[in-house]
Amino acid sequence: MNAKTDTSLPALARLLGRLDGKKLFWLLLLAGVLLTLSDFAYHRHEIFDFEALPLFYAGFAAASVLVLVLAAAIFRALFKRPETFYAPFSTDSEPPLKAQEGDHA
Amino acid sequence: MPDIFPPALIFIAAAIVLPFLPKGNLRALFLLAVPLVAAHEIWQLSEGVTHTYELLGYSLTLMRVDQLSIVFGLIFSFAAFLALLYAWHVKDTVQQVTTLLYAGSAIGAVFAGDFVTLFIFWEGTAVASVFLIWARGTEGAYYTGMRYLIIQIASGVILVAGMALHYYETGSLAFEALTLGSLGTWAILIAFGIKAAFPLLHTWLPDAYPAATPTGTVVLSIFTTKLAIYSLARSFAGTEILIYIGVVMVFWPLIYAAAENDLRRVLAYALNNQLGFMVIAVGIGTPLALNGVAAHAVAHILYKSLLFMAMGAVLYRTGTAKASGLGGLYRSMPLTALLCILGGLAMSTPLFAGFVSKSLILSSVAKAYEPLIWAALLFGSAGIFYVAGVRLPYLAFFGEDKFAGAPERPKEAPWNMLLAMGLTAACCLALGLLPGAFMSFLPYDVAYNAYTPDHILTQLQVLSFTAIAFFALWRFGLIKRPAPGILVDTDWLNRRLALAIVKLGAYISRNTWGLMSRTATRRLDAFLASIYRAHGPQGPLARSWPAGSMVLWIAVLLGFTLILSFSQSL
Amino acid sequence: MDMSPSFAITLAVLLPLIGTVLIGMSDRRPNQREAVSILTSLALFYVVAGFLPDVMSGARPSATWFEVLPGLSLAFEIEPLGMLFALVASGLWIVTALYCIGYMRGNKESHQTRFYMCFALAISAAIGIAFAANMFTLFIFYEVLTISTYPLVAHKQNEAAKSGARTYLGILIGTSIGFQLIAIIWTWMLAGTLDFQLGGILAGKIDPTILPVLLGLYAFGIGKAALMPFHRWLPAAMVAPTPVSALLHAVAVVKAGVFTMLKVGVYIFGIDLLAVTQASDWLMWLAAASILIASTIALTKDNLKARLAYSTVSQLSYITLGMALATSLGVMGGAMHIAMHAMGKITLFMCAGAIYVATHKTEISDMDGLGRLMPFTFGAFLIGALSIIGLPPLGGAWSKWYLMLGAADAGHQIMIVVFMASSLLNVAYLLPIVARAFFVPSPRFASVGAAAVPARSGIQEAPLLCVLPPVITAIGCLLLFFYAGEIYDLIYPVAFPDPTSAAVQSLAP
Repeated sequence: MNAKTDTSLPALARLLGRLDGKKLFWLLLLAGVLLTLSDFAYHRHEIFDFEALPLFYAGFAAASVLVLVLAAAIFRALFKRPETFYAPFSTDSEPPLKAQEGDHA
Repeated sequence: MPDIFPPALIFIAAAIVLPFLPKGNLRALFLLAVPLVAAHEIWQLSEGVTHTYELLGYSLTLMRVDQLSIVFGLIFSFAAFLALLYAWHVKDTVQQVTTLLYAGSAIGAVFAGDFVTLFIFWEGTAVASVFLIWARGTEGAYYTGMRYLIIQIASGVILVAGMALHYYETGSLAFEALTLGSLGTWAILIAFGIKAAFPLLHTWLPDAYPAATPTGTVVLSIFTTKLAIYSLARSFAGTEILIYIGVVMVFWPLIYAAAENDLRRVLAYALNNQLGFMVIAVGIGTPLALNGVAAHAVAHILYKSLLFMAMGAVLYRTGTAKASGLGGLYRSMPLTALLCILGGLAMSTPLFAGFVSKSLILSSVAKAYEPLIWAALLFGSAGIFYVAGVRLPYLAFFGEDKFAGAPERPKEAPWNMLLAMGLTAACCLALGLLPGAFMSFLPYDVAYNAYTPDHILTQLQVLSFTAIAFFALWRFGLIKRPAPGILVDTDWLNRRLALAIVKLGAYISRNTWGLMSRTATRRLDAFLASIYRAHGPQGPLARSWPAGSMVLWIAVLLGFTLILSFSQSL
Repeated sequence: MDMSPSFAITLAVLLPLIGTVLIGMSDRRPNQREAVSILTSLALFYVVAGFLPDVMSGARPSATWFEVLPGLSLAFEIEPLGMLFALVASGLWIVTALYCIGYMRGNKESHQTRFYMCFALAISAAIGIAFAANMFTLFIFYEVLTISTYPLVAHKQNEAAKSGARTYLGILIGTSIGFQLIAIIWTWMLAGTLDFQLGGILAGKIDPTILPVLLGLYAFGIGKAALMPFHRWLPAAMVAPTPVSALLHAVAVVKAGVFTMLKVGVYIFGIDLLAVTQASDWLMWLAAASILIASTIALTKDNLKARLAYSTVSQLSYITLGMALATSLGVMGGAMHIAMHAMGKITLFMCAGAIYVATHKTEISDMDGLGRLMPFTFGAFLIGALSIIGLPPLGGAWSKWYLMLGAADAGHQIMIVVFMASSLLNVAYLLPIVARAFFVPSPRFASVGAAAVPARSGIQEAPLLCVLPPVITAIGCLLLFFYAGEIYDLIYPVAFPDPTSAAVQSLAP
């Protein structure tokens, strides 16, 4: 069911539902492009030379995420083990806790 | 100001009184009042040294008040208040008492003026905090708690060994700046480093924090590591090696945070990464950098508490905090989702506290002209926002609706949790909106403005492209919801390798001793029996027992006396 | 009360003997018998504590009973170390006497009169050891202590008890005759005296190369100090009722052993002689090995009392190590550890006994979930354990601090590592008992996870007289942290005999 229109959900949830889709991505992209464009309108005070490169911050951030995601994938491939690996010496392999319903009013 | 009651003792006295109060709202209100009273006391402190006392001839200082200790004391008290509000519903006396003792010990350590006082409270934080893990009440939590406790106490005994060596060399027990060099100062650095989760000494952190109770993890995340950062800033500011240690701390845990499935463990690794920021700044050691350490500790305690609270609420309502079992929770927990997003933004977005403190640290590194370190920190800021600001809220609250088929959706977090999270978010915002007031509290008088167009624009670029990269990579399937499983860290070295060695050692020693003592006992028994046969009541050498034994003893004595006389005359 | 010192010393040694006789006379009247036992312990403590002000102000009260040979007499002199030991023994006897009542009645033990008589006799011997003015007197009372505790160890009179008691007697008598007596005779022949003199009686009278041999005869001859490999008697004696274990481990027996060890080091050899000749280096290494190996063995024991017994073997070697470091600070640490360990270990044993009385459980693996039923017992156990580990604000922290300073002073930094490792081993074998009892769900409670706290199962503690004494000694552990300065002042003249020397001046706080 579409969360944006599901009236059984709280209003805030329907609002958040609008974020849960493609629109957020395009909004972000638009904001990003505008911010990078500001590089050309506004002159930064660099401390390091490389800061002056066009799109330095945007590119650095995107590249960082890419590097991190790749590193994480490599680590997962190398170091991932079943949840029972350290059992019974860790909580990872134990059944979930009991979901609590109380509201303590 | 002798009329000021040391804030640490307020907590400890309250912990003693608490079990005698009836469980319920009265007790919960009392719990909330304690940190507020302490914060009020700390607020009124003026700089100076008070409450000196004597133990075994050492003159010790319970309260050394300066701006650095005030900042940490205040944030510890206030964060304790938020965490206790979050835990309003917890009825377990053990958790309540140990939370108070833990907060009191951390604050006592912050105001300690000498190493003996520091050591007392240092071990106090170790012992009090482990109960928050054990309180989960499962076999796995018991073992995790034991591991945590052993390494925390190891930090304490290394500290006391370092203190002893340092004291023996210099005759000083003052908790002041140290110069790294002697064995003693190295031991003290390692003791601090364990609690600050230095590389290789860090595995207790991602091991223990996800194992505590939903509320316990919030408390744990506040004190121990920041106390270590405070101690490093106090004793090792400007120590160069810390810069490189900090860089490793920025990278290594970040990769684990980006790969982990358990979201509370993601936050534990993210916390470790943020400690790296502070350790680097301590290594830089300029007044600007140390201001950055204090500011970042404050901001970091607030937004990390907020994130741990949000994940705690998820765990509380759904029974799990593993990404593989979550998704789409915003439908029924929208407020928690919103507050979690705010927590992520509070890490580095303008208008929030984290933006101010991170800018401070980055500027101090840039001013020290360390381009590589600076780039590492920029990578760290983008990475931490990806891990804890985008990936974590997305995995928990958005994407595939994991609770669609459930008979009942998880409920929104209880009011006390929402209130605590809301207050924490408000604090992050307030500190970000009033940077002048925030700066005026920091230990050093250095003018700094985080809200320059440069900072704002570049930071927004970093954040937006981090988020864009996440969504794009998610769309391309390069980032996926993780499957169940754990990642082994360097903890494999102690949990598998060292354990095997210890077991082998115990096996060998037990059997060797067993064999030796069995042989010895058998020989001895046989020897005694043979003597008994000869000299005992029925023996040929004695008509009655006393005479028999007397003969034996005299014979033995004479024999030895003879031998000794001979050896003398030689 | 105004008594001549000589009369007061005689009274202190004889009071428990008088108690023994009175206890024997009240055989059929348990209430009267136990009242006598408690009153005697109180009176003894009163008399012993009466010496304290004088000893602290530098006086050395003495008494001579009779002369055996010219220059060799059965005589007493109270010096600081003996004062400390006598205070520990007589003070803890009061608590133990209370505890005995709860334990022996709670367990419906047989032959209680014999038990109380032997107990009082053992205390008399301990006081004799503490106040002995020479090695000869000490040896006599040392043997009396061994023999008077034998019936206590064999109390249950079953096969296991008899076998344990045989090992107990065999090793203690064997080492004391086989090694210690020879060492004493040897010392007598070398020095012409056995009197305890600060700074020792052997300097210049013995070839330094042979000094380690004489020290070895003493170190192994004092079997009660349970130095490995002569430690077996201590776990073997675990068959005894728990109050006896408390007596063995905290009040009298092992403390008599390490006290004798310190006495020999300080008053027969003299720490300066040991330091100059390095005769005690090997003993230091052996004690360090003993600390670590015994702790490792303790880790593997599931029987609670056996685990505590190996813990004692390990902790006693702290004191031997303190002496073997041959520095003032080491002696200070060792002497302090007598009191600190006594207070901590008696707490642990009395808790073990309380658990046994209440639940008849002896194995640690059976104790899951018991903490919620016996919160006071396990709470006291936790405090005692933390004190043994050496965490502030409990007494054990100070003795470890001085031992570490002593190791730094002696230039043996590696011994600091031994103390550190031992602390961690202590954590690993003591705290699981508490943690499992409080936080691992008992098989009795079906639910799993955080809800494992039993709803309202209520508290099911042992009888009050079993629970109160360990709570008192747990509080004692806390107080010792803040009043350790008194012990420091008491021991100071022994540990730092020459207050003018530069080394002492630079370290004395």
